[in-house]
Amino acid sequence: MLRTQIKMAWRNFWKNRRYTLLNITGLSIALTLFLLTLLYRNNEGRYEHWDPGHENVYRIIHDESGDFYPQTPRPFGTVVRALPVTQAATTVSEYWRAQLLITVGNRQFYQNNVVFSDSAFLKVFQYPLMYGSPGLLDPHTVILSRSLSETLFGPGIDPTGKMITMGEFGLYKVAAVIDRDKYPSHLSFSCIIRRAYPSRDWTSSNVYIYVRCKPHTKPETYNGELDKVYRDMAVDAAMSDTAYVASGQVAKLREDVAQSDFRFAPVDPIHLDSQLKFEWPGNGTGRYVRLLFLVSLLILVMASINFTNLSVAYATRRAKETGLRKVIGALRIGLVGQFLAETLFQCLLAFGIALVLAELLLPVINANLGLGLSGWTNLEALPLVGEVALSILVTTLLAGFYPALVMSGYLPAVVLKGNFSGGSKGVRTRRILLVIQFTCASFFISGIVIITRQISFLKHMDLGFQAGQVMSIEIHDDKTNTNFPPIRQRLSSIPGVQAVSRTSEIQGESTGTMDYQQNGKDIISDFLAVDQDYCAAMGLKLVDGREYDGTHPSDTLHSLLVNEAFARKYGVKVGQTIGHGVRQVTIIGIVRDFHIGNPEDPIEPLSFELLRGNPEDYILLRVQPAGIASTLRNIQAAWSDIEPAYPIRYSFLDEHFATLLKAQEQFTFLFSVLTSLALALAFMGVIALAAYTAERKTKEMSIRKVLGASVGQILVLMNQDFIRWVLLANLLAIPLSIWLMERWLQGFAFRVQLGFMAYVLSFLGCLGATVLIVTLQSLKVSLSSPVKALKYE
Amino acid sequence: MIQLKNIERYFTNGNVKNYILRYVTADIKPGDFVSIMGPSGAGKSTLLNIIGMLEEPTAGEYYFMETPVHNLSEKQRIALYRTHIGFVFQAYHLLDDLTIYENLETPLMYQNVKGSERKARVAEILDRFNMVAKKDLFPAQLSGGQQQLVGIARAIIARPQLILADEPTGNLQSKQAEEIMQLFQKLNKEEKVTIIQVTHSEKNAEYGNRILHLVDGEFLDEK
Repeated sequence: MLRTQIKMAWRNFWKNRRYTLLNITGLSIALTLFLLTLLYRNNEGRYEHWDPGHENVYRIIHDESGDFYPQTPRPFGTVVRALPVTQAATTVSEYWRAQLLITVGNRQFYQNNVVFSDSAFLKVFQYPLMYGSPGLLDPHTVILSRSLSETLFGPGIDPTGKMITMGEFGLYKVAAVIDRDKYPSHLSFSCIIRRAYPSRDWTSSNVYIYVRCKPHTKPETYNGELDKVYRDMAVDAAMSDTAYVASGQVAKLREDVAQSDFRFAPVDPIHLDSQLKFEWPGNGTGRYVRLLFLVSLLILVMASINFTNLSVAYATRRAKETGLRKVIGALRIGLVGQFLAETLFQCLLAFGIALVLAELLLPVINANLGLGLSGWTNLEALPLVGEVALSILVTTLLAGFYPALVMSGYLPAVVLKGNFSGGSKGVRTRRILLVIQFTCASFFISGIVIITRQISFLKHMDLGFQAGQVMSIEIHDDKTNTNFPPIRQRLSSIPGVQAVSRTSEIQGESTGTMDYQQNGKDIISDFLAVDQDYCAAMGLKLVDGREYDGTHPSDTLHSLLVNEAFARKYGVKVGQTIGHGVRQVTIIGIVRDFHIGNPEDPIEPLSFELLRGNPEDYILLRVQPAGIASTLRNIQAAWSDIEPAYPIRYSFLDEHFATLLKAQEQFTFLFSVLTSLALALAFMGVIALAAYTAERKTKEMSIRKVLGASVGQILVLMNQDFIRWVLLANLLAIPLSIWLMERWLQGFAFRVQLGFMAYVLSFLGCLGATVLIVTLQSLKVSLSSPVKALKYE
Repeated sequence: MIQLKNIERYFTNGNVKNYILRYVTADIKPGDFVSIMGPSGAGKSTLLNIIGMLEEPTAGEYYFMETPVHNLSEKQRIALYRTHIGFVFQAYHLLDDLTIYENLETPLMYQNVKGSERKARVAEILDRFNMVAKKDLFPAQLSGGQQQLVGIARAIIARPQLILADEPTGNLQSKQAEEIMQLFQKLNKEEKVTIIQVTHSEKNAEYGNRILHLVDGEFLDEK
């Protein structure tokens, strides 16, 4: 019986192969997307979970003015270590420069994501090590990520025990290698440098403290303890600073620390849900995972709709078979089973194709979206098997049940008598399904148009400074900063260089925050540590006053430059004075607002401190556009004298800014892929339905031709029905799209208006494609001689 | 009205030519009522289709009302047969999704007849055929004989000079068939409509004034 069923399934497949192939193609495409999404979701959910004790790992975070920050003061580490819940604690911080120069033998590599830690790193993060052994880290050792190890030493080589030079820190021994793709964590690093940093600075929160707690303990109960310790220690440290005590700030300090709020926060949810400022890069992906999952489900539903539509349409071909089978003894339920089995056969085939396709597409996806997904060949995918089997089953039932009902419903008496031309069973359902598909397609088209416009707008936005002419050079040698004036002199004298300055951060990097006092109240602002002539080097406009120009000695301690947003928010003007810790500073100038952060964020208050607060990491040069090539050559030549140990690392700020849009471009790529899929499915649906309709209406069209209709009139008639549904679908899609797109655009501080172009395009696109498809399918019928269809059999 | 000179029609089967019609020559005058008879597969329907300009002969000349049809383009042929020729099929071939009224209206719409005139003519035909009560029914709701009546009504509503009927009574009972043939006769005698019918029945053939026998793709000499 099973063999017969398989034989029947195969023969039916072959007889109707055109439409079956369309069905299977549609399903495979949707299933491929679904599989890829499952892989992605599985991957994102795996972060930290490879650690058997992952629920015991916590991070200390603190609350300041209503926002949470993931960092604490450095001395906190000793405190946390002493708590009874603590099994191990480690202090982690980022290297303050963007990149570190690593030297192996005679090869040099600039590396980003360099992280410092103390000896207990592997005690808290219990990674299975690729090479090396767990335990406390010795001084002057470094842990490498697998990709860094392969870059430095080649693949498959055990680098433990080898010595490498870590920038200005000297020789370090490789202690271990961690495979970050296999054991992903929210803490992204290319290497962990074991470096001791004793500190008694209780005022700056600049390290991440991670704690591995003893199992079955409740660390949250110690939150209060953390606060108490901080209060005591911070005040103690302040009291031992005589200058601080003398300024009378102690009372204020007691007030501040009384409100401090430190907590244990579990590390598990960080990767998916963290939206904290100063979070490690690459986290907070939870929303995308959920969104993607929903969309891929939607597309799977669309493909199933296609399947159902077509199956019902072609059901009439099998009407006679059904009637006959019933006559010779089949029960309806048996027929339902037979048709469902055929659907399952097609689904399994589609799934097989999807597996192969997903595997083939992974490299492209990984490259474009910066992911590290590994495919089905990987054992990590095993838990997905259950999910996948379930989805096949659901798809089969979803797509196949209604057609099976229809196909098994034909009554022999009706079907076997004379000329059964097939009923109009399910026509209304088919129409509804078609409208749903068109609605999705229309929504996607208008969506991609708007998204592309917005990203393009961001790319070409006026940044408020002349990004194309500003060059930034990374400073790697501390001596450059300790003795800058001759370097400034040297660089200014190069023809083509119009201004020279320094800054602590460039576009896209997190600035620090600084507290000021105004009328007794605390005000907080982002800040940059800059050198004189910053505005000149960046090409910034001053709205009022002046910038640091090196001619006013009072600038060193008593001046402050701010941007317009700062001036607006705190109502300051040039010449006014505000408090800055123990000092008073006078506003010397207001800079026109410009973009320092993410292009989608609003411009925040920003203050410019003259060479204090953070180290200078970049030299900024404004260069003339004419003769840039030779100017560059001269700069490079000069650099080899300025920092001989560090090959020059520079970029122009406009190129740099473009890289900030990477996340948005990835999103656009993804959305385009989804749009193409949705469109492919929708148009496949139209093609199949148009072919079927043309075939069914052959007789009618032939009669009309005999009655005098021209080819044009026949085509109009065939198109009329479809056009009506395209119209309806667009009417449905437009409000939906407006609502969703408006919400998305609102997340950008700088955005385009919706406009109606996108909607006109989506409507015309759908309409044009539909008319083309229907016309092509109907052409055969409308051009052929009418007698062919009217022969009496 | 119709001159056929050496009409030929063949199908190729691989390299072999399969002649359906060969050396078909005839001259049909206006007002004739011609019956084409012959065994199955003799090519009667094909000949009717050629006369009706629904098919093209592979060779030969065909003059319809002095116009050389074999030289016309598809568009010109449609224009020609649309106004001058009406078809009646054995299987009626009504449009199932349209009511009787709409079925009758359709040929007039393809000839760009204005709405009010269309209404008038459809009403006139319905009345003439005693079908007024049935105008809003669908073909599936009528019996075979009634459907054929509608088919004939549709064929003559455009006032053609020529009616081509392919075994019009083949699916009908003898009494209904008789009614149909008498209708044809009336049309021919009173309204001078030329009728060419293909038939198997000797009885039906006697309603006409000429009989042409088609055997193996050729006309036998007339009696």
